[in-house]
Amino acid sequence: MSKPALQVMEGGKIPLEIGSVAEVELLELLGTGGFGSVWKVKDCHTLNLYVLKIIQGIIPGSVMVERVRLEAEVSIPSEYIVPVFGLCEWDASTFLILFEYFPGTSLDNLLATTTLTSQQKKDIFHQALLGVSDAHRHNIIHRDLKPGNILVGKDGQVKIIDFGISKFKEIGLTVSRELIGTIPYMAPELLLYGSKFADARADIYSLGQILYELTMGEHFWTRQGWRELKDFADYLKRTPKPSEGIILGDFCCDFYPKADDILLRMVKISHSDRYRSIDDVLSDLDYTPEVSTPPLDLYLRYPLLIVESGSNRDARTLVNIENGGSLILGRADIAGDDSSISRRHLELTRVGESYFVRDLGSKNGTLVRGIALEADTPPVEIIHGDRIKVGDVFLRFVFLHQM
Amino acid sequence: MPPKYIVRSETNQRSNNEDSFQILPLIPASAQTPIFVLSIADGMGGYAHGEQVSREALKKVTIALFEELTIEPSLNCIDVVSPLDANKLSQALSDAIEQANAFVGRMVEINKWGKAGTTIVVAAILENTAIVTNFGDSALFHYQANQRKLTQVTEDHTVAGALLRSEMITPEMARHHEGRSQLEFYLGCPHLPQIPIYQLQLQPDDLLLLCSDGISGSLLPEQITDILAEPFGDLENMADQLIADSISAGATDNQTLILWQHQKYFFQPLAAAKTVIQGRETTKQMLSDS
Ligand SMILES: Nc1ncnc2c1ncn2[C@@H]1O[C@H](COP(=O)(O)OP(=O)(O)OP(=O)(O)O)[C@@H](O)[C@H]1O
Repeated sequence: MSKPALQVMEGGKIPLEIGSVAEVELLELLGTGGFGSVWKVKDCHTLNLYVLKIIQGIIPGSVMVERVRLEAEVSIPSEYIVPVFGLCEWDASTFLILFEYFPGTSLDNLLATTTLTSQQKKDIFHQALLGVSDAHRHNIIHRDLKPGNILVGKDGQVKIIDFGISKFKEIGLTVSRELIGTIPYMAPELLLYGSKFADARADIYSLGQILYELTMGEHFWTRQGWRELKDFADYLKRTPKPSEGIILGDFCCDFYPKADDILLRMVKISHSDRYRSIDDVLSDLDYTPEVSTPPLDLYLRYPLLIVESGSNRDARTLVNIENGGSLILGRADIAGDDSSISRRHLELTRVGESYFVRDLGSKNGTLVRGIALEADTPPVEIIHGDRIKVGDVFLRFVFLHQM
Repeated sequence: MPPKYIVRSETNQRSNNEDSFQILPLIPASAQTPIFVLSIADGMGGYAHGEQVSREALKKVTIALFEELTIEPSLNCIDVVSPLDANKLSQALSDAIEQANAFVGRMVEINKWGKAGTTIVVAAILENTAIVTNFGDSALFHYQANQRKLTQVTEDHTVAGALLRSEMITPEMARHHEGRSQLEFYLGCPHLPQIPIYQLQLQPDDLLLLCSDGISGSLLPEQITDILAEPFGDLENMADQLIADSISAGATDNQTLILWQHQKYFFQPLAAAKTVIQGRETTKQMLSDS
């Protein structure tokens, strides 16, 4: 049976198979990008509102589609992130992603049209940090954080959009080219080496730029009179070499007393000098992190790695290691032979009841709590509930009772 | 002598052709010999918007040039229009690009096309001089026949291009860079930097190659040189070869090219002007002194 043509126009109706939503009506065009369009839509049956991203021009047969699916399907439980409701493939070159609708105004609009109080700015930034931290815990990196992707509701509630879909923007997936408008928020390593190895620290850089803009009312580049990438490149080449992507100058933040130092550590040019996690930023800003208490009967349980998305979702690998021993895992052991996993990808070790993980120089890397494990660095401890991203596969490390 | 050029525009592996091109002889008010305006635009945007944007951008550029070079100088003009020189033409081209950018920006905004825009490359040929400008990654190459030398005159306004020019990445990195097709500047973008204008001196048999990135994006400069340096090559063969070779090098995007072969320019002395006064009306007649 051939599908009807996609009615991408106001009033058009699109049959979907996404969760309980069977058909939506396109209400309003919210945006168009190089990849397709973003619509406010209504479920024809329940009348609930959603946002539908229509991604067109995907190169048919691209392996990337599966990669995108792996990432977009991870659900990040967070009050501060607009959740993906589901996604489906319309045809070989078209993908539909349904998001919950969040009535709000994007932060770039707010900054342009209203004067925010210091308390409002602080609340917005705090919630943005919490949202990004939630995502990083699941090894989802945004890679495109900017005021346009931060929605603020009437009551001040913040939700971040476009999490988990930055993969669509990687080269080679869609045929269209991108008109870039967000270079000033991009971390230097992302600019130079691309998104593949960008980790949590790239988002931390963007959030630093956003903190500056929130505080000063304009982006650092605008304040410097910089209009193009070349201006930034010239700055990076100054002697002595600058170590931060921002010069404080007259920066003065009346809602975070220690903002100066924290800002500078967020926008370090070298990512190894930057904050390693949003949680560190939060605690330096004097927010107390929530600590979840591990179950008391951990010692009665078995450690497992569980696949969190994709067609192998819920597949399990037992981490069977004697005290003092180690286990090398690779493609054949996890998630049904996924090609993004190297043959010898990571090593798990056990010391007493503690478990550690180390990347063995794999091709596509390993992320733990949003940070890419670098080869030749000491193993990182993982605890119950930690997420590990191995290549493109999302795993959760848990202790469970034997079935 | 009629001008010698060839144009090609191929959809290649895309569903539609978002490239537009134009070759327009335009007679400035001050001359009888036309300047030739060659232009290519490569549109971007959802659906078919890219196609419309590239068409409208080229139209806007040529209308603006016509207005500034032909209409304005001849309006209520009783003196001999001072001849067009390279600097005036450069200014006119720069103004035309600015107008087209504002126009495209408005068009995209009003139609809610979101992130749509177009690249542009224009060469206006005035006698033995070519005035060139571009935004985005549509390029112009100048092949100097007597030296068998190819120069890419325009810069690619891509993220990779900017990083390469600043020596932040190597040419090898640039070829595989994620930002190699992310455009920093294009027509329709909110902030254009200073408009780049290049002036080239043309010798007989020199070639100008204007093309969209479906050609220049996948061929190395040496490959283009080899094709253009073909001793017995005619323009048609060269164009075929450029298209075929870029496809075999992996180009899937739309491909448009204009290949212009410069010919000896014969200077025709400007006509003398004689003022005829009839009653209260003042007119001027151009008399050819042939
Ligand atoms: N879940 C949502 N609820 C309400 N509005 C939304 C939602 N998602 C997106 N929007 C609105 O739609 C607009 C376009 O969305 P989005 O920014 O994702 O599009 P885009 O074209 O991909 O932009 P960019 O590439 O700059 O991120 C946003 O500015 C936002 O105001």
